[in-house]
Amino acid sequence: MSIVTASGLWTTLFDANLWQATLRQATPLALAALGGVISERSGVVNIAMEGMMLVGAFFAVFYSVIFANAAIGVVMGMVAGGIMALFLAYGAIHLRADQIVMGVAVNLAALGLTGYLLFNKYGTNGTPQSCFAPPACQKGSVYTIPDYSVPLLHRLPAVGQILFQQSPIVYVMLGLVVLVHIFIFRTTLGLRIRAVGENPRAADTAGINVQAVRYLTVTLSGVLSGLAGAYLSLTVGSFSEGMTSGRGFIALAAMIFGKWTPFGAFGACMLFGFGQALYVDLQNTSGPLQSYSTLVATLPYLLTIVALAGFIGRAIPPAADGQPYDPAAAG
Amino acid sequence: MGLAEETSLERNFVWQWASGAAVPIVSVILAVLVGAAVVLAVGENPLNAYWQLLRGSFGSWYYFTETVIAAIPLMLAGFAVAFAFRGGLFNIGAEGQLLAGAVASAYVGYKFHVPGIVLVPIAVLAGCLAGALWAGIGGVLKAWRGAHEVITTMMLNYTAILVTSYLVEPGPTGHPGPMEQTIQIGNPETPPMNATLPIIVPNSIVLNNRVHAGLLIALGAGVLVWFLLWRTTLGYKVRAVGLNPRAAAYAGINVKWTVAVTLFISGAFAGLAGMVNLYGLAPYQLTNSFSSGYGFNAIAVALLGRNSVVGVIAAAILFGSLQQGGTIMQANAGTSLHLVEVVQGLIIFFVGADAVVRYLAARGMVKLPGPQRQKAAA
Repeated sequence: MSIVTASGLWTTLFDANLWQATLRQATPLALAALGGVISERSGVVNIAMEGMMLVGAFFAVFYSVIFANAAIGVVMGMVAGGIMALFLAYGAIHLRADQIVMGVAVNLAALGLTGYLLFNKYGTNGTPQSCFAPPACQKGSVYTIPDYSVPLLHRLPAVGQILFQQSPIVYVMLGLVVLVHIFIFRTTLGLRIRAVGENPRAADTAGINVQAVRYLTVTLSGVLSGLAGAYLSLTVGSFSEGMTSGRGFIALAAMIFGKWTPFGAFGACMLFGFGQALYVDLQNTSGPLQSYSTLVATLPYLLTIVALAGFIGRAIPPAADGQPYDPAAAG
Repeated sequence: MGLAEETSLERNFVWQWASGAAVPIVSVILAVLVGAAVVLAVGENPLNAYWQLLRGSFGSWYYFTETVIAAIPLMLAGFAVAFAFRGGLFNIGAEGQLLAGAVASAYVGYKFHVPGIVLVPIAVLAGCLAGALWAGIGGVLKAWRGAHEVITTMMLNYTAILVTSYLVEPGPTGHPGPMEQTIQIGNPETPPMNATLPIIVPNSIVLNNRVHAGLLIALGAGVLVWFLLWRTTLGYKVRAVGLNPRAAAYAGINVKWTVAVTLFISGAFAGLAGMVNLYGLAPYQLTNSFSSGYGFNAIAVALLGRNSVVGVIAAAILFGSLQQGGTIMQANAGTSLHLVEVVQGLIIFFVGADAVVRYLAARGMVKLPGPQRQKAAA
């Protein structure tokens, strides 16, 4: 590596824009990954986060246009993600079908449904013009979520730009990391969720309604994935076919890499978000590093494989993860 | 019950076959109906859409050949997923293995200057080997490190997609990717493939048809899958581990080795799918959008085909017809091709949760003879 290249990378690393972008990239990953943690802690493997994010992203835009309000768009995106999750829940919990197969089905149906509706509702031109506030916003435009600068704090050097000039959903995500941790490890319901994920038979014997707990966790996971999707689409102010481009799977990877814990998943999302931010950054710079930018993007996947193989501390899923539970079967 | 007792052996056989096909067939019908409801809900005409889809896939000999062409990679990738299922493994990474096979065979295709009769077999081997190695990573990690194959093969999918993208895509400055074969169509600097698969249906039968020898390769692979699974010791081991790894180990089968080999072989078929599509279809060039999700649809094909060779072939033709007919549907009925994905997703849902079908059977709405398997995939 030449000195020029090295110093180019070096200056990039001290660029506050890069770190601000890291947090932005990490946000949709972390929101979905937190949902994944909740779902898998109860024993339901959720590989359908990609699909739930997609419907969240589409319906956020759709309702943002209808109600001329970004916040309603976000809420409707969450609702759409939750409804999509109910399909997974019904198949995987109620019908006790293979959870991976159900996840594949939901992902494919979501990809098809959003592509179909995009074409049906907006034709070949794509979603309408985006805008932030009424003067620029006319009837039928996509109301976009503006960034919110935290008073005073945003003026701090470097840190201010990185942490306090962000989308409101970024702040929500940061709060949720802590809340989900408390929820899973410090509340009765959280304990029940973990019990169901480790040993559903024992949990059932102790009087916990296994099916109900799993319905709740899968739906919560869908709502959080929907929020992640809404963040994606309403930050750029448009929806395009398959716009999540694998983020649901990176979130899944982050959840595993973070060993099924909220803080671990968040850390992994920051790492993967950094990779993505660096990837975008490298694409925009000219020089020898640019051509390798695509390879940098493979890191989340490779790191997850390494983690799963136990080369950097073993990643062990909840004991009953992926197993359907039949209350009527003899244990 | 009484009915089953008085059936002759021959009827029993038909009965059994029907029970195997009942869930997939009912699932497809249910998926088509729910798909129609979606079309109706957004104010389009489902009858017209489906009519155009049917016409576009089976309405003429030419359309039918296009359906078969679309089915070829689905068959091969479907065999890959089905073979792994037989061994109790969920290979969700056929997409990545398919790309690995395409990349390796593309390299062979423009680097090796030998006659086609020599080159094509080498390309077949290269494609199989690349796919097998890509899947083998997941197999080895599953066998000796306990890493779940669903996650590893899924992660390897995206790795393959990105690496292929790196190899073929010119960067923003126009600097071409490392694989010269893929610079651009019509560019004289792009070295051509030194061999391709011939068209096997004469022009006099179906004008301008594109049915390539990949069909024969796919059908041959089907025979090979059947032979491997049901006529070799290896196949016996694969199925034994798939049914019950503990019992297989007790019977003296090396389970770890079998798991690794199962995924290795599975990946070979997916890699072959990549090679066949690259060598069979003009412009014989590896591009970024080379695979339109064949590897993911292969999961559906294997599930729908109940992991049997004949079932996979039938399911691949169905999915091929959806793909081909969907294009015509979009052009003629104005209904987005994405409807096909919705229907495919629903098919997977209903096949995977065959409880829905069993529910209907319990209420006498569908006849289901024989005990039904609990799950489509172990």
